[in-house]
Amino acid sequence: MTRIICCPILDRKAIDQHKEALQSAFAGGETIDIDCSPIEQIGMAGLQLLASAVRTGQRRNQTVRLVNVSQPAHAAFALAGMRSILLDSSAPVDGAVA
Amino acid sequence: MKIEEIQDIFFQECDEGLVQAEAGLLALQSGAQDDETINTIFRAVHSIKGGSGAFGFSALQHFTHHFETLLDQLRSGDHKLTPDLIGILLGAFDMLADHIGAIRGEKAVPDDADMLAKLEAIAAGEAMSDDPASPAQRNIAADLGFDIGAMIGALDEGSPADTPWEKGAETSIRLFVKPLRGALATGSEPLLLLRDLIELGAAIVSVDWANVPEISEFDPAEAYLSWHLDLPTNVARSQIEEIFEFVSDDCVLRFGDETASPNVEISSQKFPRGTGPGSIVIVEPGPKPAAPIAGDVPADQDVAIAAPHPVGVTPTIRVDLEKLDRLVNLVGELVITQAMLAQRLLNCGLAQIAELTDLDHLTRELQDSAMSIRAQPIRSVFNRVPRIVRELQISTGKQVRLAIEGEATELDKTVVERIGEPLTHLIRNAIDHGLELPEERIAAGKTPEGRIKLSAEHRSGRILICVSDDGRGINRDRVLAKAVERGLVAPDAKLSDEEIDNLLFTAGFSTAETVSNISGRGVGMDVVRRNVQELGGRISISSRPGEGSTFTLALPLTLAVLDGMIVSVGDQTFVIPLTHIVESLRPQPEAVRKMGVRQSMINIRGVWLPILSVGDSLGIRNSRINASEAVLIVVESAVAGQGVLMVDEIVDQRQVVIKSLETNYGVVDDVAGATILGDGRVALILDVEAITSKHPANLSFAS
Repeated sequence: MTRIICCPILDRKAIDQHKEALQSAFAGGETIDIDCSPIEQIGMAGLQLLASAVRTGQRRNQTVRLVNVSQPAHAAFALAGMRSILLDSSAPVDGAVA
Repeated sequence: MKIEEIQDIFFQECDEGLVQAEAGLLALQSGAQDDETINTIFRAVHSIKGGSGAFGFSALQHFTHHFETLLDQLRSGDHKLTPDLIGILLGAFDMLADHIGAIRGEKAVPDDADMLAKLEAIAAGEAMSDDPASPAQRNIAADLGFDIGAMIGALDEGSPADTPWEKGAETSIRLFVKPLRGALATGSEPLLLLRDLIELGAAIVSVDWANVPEISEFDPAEAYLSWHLDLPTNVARSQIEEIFEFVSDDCVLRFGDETASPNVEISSQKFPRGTGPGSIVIVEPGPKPAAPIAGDVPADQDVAIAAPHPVGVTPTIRVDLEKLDRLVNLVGELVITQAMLAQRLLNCGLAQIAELTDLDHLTRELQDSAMSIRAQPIRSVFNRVPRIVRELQISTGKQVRLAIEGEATELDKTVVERIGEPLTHLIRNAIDHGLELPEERIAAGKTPEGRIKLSAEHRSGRILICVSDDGRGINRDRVLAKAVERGLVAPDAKLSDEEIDNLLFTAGFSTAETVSNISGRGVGMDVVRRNVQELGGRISISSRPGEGSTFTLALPLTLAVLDGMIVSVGDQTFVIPLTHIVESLRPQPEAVRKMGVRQSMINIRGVWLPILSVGDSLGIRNSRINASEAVLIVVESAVAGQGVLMVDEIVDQRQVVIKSLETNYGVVDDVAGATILGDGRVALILDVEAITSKHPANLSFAS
């Protein structure tokens, strides 16, 4: 299992370092836990990154879990209507979530 | 953008929220107790609360939280809307207005302890009900700057119909939102747009993440997500578009659901194809255009169309008032220069050249446009009145029903800013002096509830603002007796009804038996008249015993220019405002009759009107004294009705720029201001109201 710890402000500037870590983790082929507990702020770029991680795991049949999701992160997931995409492993691989 | 500017925007949003909330509360009071009205009030308070948290206005945030809690319970149907409860809500609204005044530094922070106790007591009754989730959610909300709990509830996947926003909404507006690449590149945050939409009552129907790539292909600058949302139908399109105002280059916004409405087309087809992914796209359901422009794209493609402005959006820009006033002043100078040029050309025999006519038209259009920028609806003044009425109801024990009409009527910004105080005096007087107590009204065969009507309308180039009541009317015997007692009128004076009514405007005059904090000190009505006159307006009274009174304020549309008739009297030139002129004529000798030693009358289509010599009024030598040799100008004034001004000749008719005589020289009786003519001479603008009011209106009579 590989654990990636998010930084407190997951905005566009922070994407590159997270992307590198995620790419390395996917290359390892293990289950990936993304620890969201430090997240204090997250914008659309951060949500997209997490969605990309989920998508990559689904397509590669590799487990990706968002764990210890902080309250601000929860609020942002809900605001964007992405709770089921990011927190529910049964979310569809492609398409829209109602 | 500086924080102060953002804060100013919040203050404006607070004002808008107060207007919406008050309108909703008054609608509730009038019996329109539907869910949407309560939703509107809730949203207004909710928005204010959100902003107050963001700016750290903790007292306002605390109060709005409790206010919002009760409104939320009302939305849920936990309380029955009784008159008492509506009264408390109105009181809470007034307290909210005070809080907003406090954060703007206009007043002290109000003591809201009693009101909070009332709100909490009512809400506590709600807490006894079987809704255990509500208190917890409200506690979360209290800890946050905005009600994230409500948002989470509204956005919870799979149950948008369960959200409070949906309650009562029979139909909805479908909205498609897709941020473009630039939305992230410029550092803006699309989630804030979603938040604003949700605050308007939106519920996310679906989020499309089909374009999100695998991590290896992930581009941090790209926007992959898009959303379909439903909004209640009562949300104005302009409210939605306002949210996207500053990101119009970076976001696709579509109205309607292309899957449900096969006739969805790009409605911005009149605009040329865009040059890249940088423009807002507005698409709405509608009839298919007869001849679509080649190259238009299907609505379901996120191809940006370059639209200079989104369809249906009126773009706005904030401008410093100083810059605006400078523009207006410069336009005024341009008008004067244009008039001088016209005069020069006239002297050279070139008055009829086409370019001069074009210049005249362009100058006038430019001037109208500049003036219209300063025009504002009088709504901001009228909106203060309901609160005044509510407070007076409590302090006087009178029941009042207020009706407001014409609040969208526009007039000059300066007039809007300065008319509030006189209007407040009139409203206070109407309630304190005009309306009777409920038992008196019942005894007089009236409803216990008195009526106050406040209206504004545009008539004959002026704005008329009326304050009417259906009370006891002016007791003229008492007014006259009081005037005699104070030595304002001789005991044997014979005064007309109008003259007696006008005694109310005398400084220090009051018929009130007791001095209250509402009125009765006699310092109100003379101030009202002076304030109105300073704005170039006039005030008149119409009253019938037992039926009520109407105070009419006639105000100019603009304070900067007027259309005037240039006339000569002796060796002087004057301007008569066209708004007062009915007609002009050279009378036949037999149409003029003497009445007494000095007064002449003229028969105008069966009505005898007094002839008022401008030369006599202003003491000008060598003016014509024989009416049959002069020019007569029939004028109409708000106070004295019709009269006839006698001048020597009509020289011209043109638009003139008003220059204040008071500022540049001093107050002159019968003169409203001055202007500079085309030949560079200064001409005085006659104060028609003042001249005609010197002569009793009842001098005119039918033959």
